[in-house]
Amino acid sequence: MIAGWLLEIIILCYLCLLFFIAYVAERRENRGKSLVTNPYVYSLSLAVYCTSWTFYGSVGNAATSGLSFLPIYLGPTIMAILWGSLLLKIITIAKRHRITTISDFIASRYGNSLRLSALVTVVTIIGITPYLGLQMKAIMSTFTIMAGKSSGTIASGWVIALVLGIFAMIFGARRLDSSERHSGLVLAIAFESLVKLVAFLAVGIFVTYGLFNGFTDIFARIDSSAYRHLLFIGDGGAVSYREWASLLFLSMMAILFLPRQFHVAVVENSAPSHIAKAMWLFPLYMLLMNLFVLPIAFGGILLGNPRLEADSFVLTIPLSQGNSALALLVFIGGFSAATGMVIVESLALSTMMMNSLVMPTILRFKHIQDFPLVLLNIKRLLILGCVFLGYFFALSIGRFYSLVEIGLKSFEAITIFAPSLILGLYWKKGNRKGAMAGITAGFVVWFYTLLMPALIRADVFSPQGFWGALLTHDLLNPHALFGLTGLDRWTHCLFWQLLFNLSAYVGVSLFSSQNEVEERQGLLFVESYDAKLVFRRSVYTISQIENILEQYVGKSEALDIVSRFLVRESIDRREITQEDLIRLRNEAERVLSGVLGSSISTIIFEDKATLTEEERGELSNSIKQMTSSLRLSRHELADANRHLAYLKEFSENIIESAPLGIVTIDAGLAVKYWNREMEQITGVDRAKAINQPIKPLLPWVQATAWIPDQQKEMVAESASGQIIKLNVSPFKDPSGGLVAILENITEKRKMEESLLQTSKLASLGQFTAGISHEIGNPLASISSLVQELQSIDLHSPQELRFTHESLQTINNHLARIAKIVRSLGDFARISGAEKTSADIVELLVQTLNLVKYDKRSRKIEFITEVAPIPLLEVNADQIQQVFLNLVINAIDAMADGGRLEISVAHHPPWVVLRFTDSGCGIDEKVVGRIFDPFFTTKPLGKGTGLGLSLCYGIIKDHNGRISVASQKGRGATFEITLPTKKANE
Amino acid sequence: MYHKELCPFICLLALLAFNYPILSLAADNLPSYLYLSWGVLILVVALVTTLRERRRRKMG
Repeated sequence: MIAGWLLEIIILCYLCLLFFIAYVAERRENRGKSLVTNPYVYSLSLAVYCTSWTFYGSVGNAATSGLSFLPIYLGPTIMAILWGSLLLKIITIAKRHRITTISDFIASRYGNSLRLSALVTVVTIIGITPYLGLQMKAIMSTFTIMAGKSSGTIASGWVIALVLGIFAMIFGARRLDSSERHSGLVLAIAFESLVKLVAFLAVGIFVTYGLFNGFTDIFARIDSSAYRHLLFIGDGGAVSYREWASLLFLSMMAILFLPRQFHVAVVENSAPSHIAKAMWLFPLYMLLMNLFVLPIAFGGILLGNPRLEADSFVLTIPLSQGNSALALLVFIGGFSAATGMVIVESLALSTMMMNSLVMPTILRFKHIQDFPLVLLNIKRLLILGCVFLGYFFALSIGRFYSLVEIGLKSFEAITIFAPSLILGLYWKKGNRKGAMAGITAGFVVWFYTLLMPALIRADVFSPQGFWGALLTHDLLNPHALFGLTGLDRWTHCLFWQLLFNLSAYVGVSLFSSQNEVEERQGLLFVESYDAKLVFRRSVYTISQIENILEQYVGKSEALDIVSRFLVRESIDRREITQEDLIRLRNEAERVLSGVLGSSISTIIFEDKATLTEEERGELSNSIKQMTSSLRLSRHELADANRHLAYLKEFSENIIESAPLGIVTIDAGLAVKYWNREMEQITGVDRAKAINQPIKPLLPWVQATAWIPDQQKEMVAESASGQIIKLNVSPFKDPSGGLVAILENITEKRKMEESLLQTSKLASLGQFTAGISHEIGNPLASISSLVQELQSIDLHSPQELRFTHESLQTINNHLARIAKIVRSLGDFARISGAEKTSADIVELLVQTLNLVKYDKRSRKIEFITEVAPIPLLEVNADQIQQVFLNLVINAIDAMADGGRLEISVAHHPPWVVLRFTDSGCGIDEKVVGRIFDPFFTTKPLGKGTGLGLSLCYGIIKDHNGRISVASQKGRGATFEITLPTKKANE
Repeated sequence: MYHKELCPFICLLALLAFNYPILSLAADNLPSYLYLSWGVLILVVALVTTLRERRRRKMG
């Protein structure tokens, strides 16, 4: 046992720790370094679901009803699988409309109905207060167990309730806007979730492995004991399959609709992407939390503890074993479980009460001084009121019931909202009257079948007289309504409640009509439309909107909201358009929804609406028209969606399969798409490239490539030595951006060089005979002179002169041979792929000199006419090859001799070269094909058909043109046009 | 199968796995069955959501 005063100090220290954690979280949030904006804290905050009912009640339930505690956690696990669609839809709608409570959500769906909002709030308060009381009861009863005496427990409970209320006030109601996230509160709740998990696992391990020999030992012992039935469900088990299914369903609904769950899952959600991780992290948390429930419950029974006190086994087992430290840890864990729930639930309930009950009443006093401050203080009082409501419930009625009983009653109460809320998200026909009827019917059934017996048991109602007669009536017995027997009380209540609720909701909705606002809200919720896209609303001036906001949030806040909107949307206050005013009004209404609730904020703006009757009529008609056309086109939309999905997949497959690197970049030069080939080219994974700036990813590309002005094409060498051709085009999208296509042309370049080399050697081959004659003649002359020199007498002066002259002749011949060989070597060598400034007239002269060695050229008259031209940016090897191919072709075409006229002219910004021969000409039928690869007019074995094709490719690569004009028998003219540097710029 | 359809399908399977008559088939060792299938279900959901998130990130 631990002294009461010491326990109080420990509790206060723990609460101070929570204050500190919340304070640090808020400070970090304000500095932009949030501790809570991540899926792990989000998942842990969802674990506020695990209250003292989980911590203490599950063990109590397992000890008395076996496995029946499990559906309470399996249900949320199953429901979590659907969060990706259902919770996401709720969050999207709630964030868009700044909805902060479940009552606002339902009321907003059904035309911002204030009555409906109030009804939901009343049902929630009645349904949830016992649950709140359950937590206070757990805190007080465990305090008694730890202290070993009950004196002082009530006073300690009072102090704890006060501190919890203050905590919720400080970290949950600092500002009036309820849609604002509370980072301090969330981190404190997440921390408490960790504490309760650690504490429960610790006591579980202590019982399972400290007091027994593991799971097998405990289960074997219980299997051979009188409590064997606790291991089964169904016939012979502690719980029926029907009850099991009902509990599963109830918990599936509770995880969505409990006010605190709605608050942490929806209002405190900082990013919808966190849902994906929470879908399995939160169930994993619950699995761990329940791992040792059965061992502790069975351990307690086997140790001889009374089953009636099983709710406190978690605490009494370590205490009875003398392990006070563990007991203290468990107490803090249980305290965490209870306080987390009390804080969040009281905050959620107070917001509901504020928006649905208090606000409509005090709205008429909006002109009083400091009205926003008054509202804030009322909200704070409501939080405190909720906590103390639970405290008083725990003192009055709570003692009659177990933790599980109280919790399940609340689950049943919350399930009343399921038809109106879930069907309301998917069925546009559902209307306010149907929702009111359904919820009322469900509530009456719940009250009569579950709460009434509890109130009678607590002596609130007398079991005699009228109530007694009612309860014992054959048809009106709350445990066997209309004579239906054989069902457990949870299934019994659920069955009748859902039957009446659904029937009333669907029936009334089908037989009553919706007003315009309901139709509009139905569209917004079911189709997830954005209000500003669908409806045109009445316009206020900026000053009017500021005045409206000022009344509820204060002047500085109002001005701040409006100016933030104007800055965000880049709107000049003096030039604001009507469209912008409508958007500003929507923004203001959303802000007020966060402060006052959606129903009140709608009323505030509608009160000031300036729509005429005629406008209202037009609005109504357009809504009806839109609704019917939407209905008609639903199938077409579904078809179109399928088709779009197919097209999307198809185009993605094409992009992914293309042997081209494709990357899209937004206006800020951040990568938005990166295909598989890009990974191959750069070695950078798609995941690492997405949203990264493009320049560091492709550092070898000139920075000018990313200037989004016009299409660019360039060749660059990558870091790994690959030759990459890059084509960058501006996106045809108003938001801007670029699309870049990268082609690895390394192999292509190698092949081109190889082809050029082959072509050159082939050209050389064509005049080898002529060249060999050109070398052979001087060699023969040298040979005969050498023979002469060997036989002469060097002492005769004449012969000395002859020797001198012969050596001079030999030297001349050798120089001529060396010149020919050098020309051949120069021509055959490939200097590289780069373009450099070159004098193409010099290239032409070199080519003609080479060709003149060919004996066939002796019959040809070469006439050149050269005008002064600038240096051109060309690849000299390639251009020389073009000249050689054209000249050789001309020589081939003039086998019996002729004339080759070559002219070079400058027509800025172009240089034009003409090669005109007087040969046999080209047949007009084939003249269009002579640049095709492998096409030749020469006899078999004489030509490859690649020469002119190569010329065409080279000139194209130089951004030039090559053309031919010819007639059979009248020679041919080839014209080459090359750009000067100016033209290239 | 698209994720949108996959999750309701897993949810349906989970509902079947945790209800009569499947539970009656595992009656001899019910606690082990419940905890193991619970763990498997969490694993499957983790796998599906992680793969989907990875795919979404890759697609930008």
